[in-house]
Amino acid sequence: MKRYLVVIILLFGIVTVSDVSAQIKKRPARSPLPDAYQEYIYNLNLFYNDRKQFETDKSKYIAYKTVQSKEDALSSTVTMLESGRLAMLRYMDIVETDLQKQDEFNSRVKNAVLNDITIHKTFLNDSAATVEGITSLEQGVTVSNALNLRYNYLKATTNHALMYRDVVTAKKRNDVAREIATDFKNIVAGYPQDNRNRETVDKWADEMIAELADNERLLNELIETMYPAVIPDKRPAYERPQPAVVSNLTKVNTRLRQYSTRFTEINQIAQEAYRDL
Amino acid sequence: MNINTSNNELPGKPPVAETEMDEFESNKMTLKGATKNTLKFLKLGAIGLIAVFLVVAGIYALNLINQSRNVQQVATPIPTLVASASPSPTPVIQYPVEYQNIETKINGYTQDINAPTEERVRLNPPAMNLSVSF
Repeated sequence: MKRYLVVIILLFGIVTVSDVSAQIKKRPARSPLPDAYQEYIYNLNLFYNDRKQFETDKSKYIAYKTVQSKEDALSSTVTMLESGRLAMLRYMDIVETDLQKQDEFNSRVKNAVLNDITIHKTFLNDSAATVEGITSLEQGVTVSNALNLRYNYLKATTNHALMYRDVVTAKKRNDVAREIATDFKNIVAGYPQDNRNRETVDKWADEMIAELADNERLLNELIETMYPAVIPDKRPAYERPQPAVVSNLTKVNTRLRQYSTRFTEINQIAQEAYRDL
Repeated sequence: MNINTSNNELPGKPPVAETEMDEFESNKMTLKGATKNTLKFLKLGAIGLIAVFLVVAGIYALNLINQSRNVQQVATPIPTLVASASPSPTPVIQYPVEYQNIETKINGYTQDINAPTEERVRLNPPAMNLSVSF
């Protein structure tokens, strides 16, 4: 009886294990390496945790002033600055990759932003030894000031990179809108002059094309003022673009959103023009 | 053990001590047998428990696998039958191909304008405080 029971248990175990392993084998294999964005988020979370630990150790040191608490504060300072350095580096990686993918709407500005990113990455790579070499709390303060300043520069560069990206996106949409407006104009061009809807479509297309040209002018003005002078290390690269010029982008984007409805409306009029033939 | 060996015993009867010893021996044997039986019972019980545990674990594992299968099945779109619309009373106008091309472009434009902005949002600078002071 006992033997039968053991055999049954063994058989059941084998069947279950083989079924489970077969299911595991069927599952798609996970990608061996996380993508750049995941790596950045991972490093950023590490930094946030290390920052918390630093705050705790700093409070203990300020409260007790013991040798041990000083050592702990120094250690967590180094750890926090190192994870912050890595998080910034990974962030620059994703911004750089994204900017490289963007169209060459204005290669001068694009290259200037890419150059700034390279400068930041070089600084951050070089800082590895500086951070590792921190031996006192005073030194930690000095290195943190340098890294904090770099973070502010890096944010300004990112604003430029994202601005360039937004302008390129708006420019692409503007080009598609112009194509649609031109198509409408071409369609009704062959219709008789007395077709009552032909005139409406034609007039609308002319107004639309004029507005689209104005959009392009606004976008060009914005991108040209992003880097007023391309003189390495002299240009005000770390300033945000002027709000007055940034409003150009808002204006263009608002117009671009409205076109979607206007296209549908004019399409109905163009269809009526066809039915009137 | 305290064995009574007093002279108050009746003649012809075995001494009290002898009787108690026999009783003790027989009890010991009974106890031995009972212990053996209990151990046997416990062994069988343990095996039974393991078997039940394995069965439950196996059912649970199979259930999990089936659940994951079901999730995958749900994720795949199920083709549905669409009832054919009744013929429209108004005649359908066939527009030239230029109109169809424009409609395709308008649809593409609308989709692009309303596309999600997650990719753009995740590029925003992270909030970081690297300042250190003591």
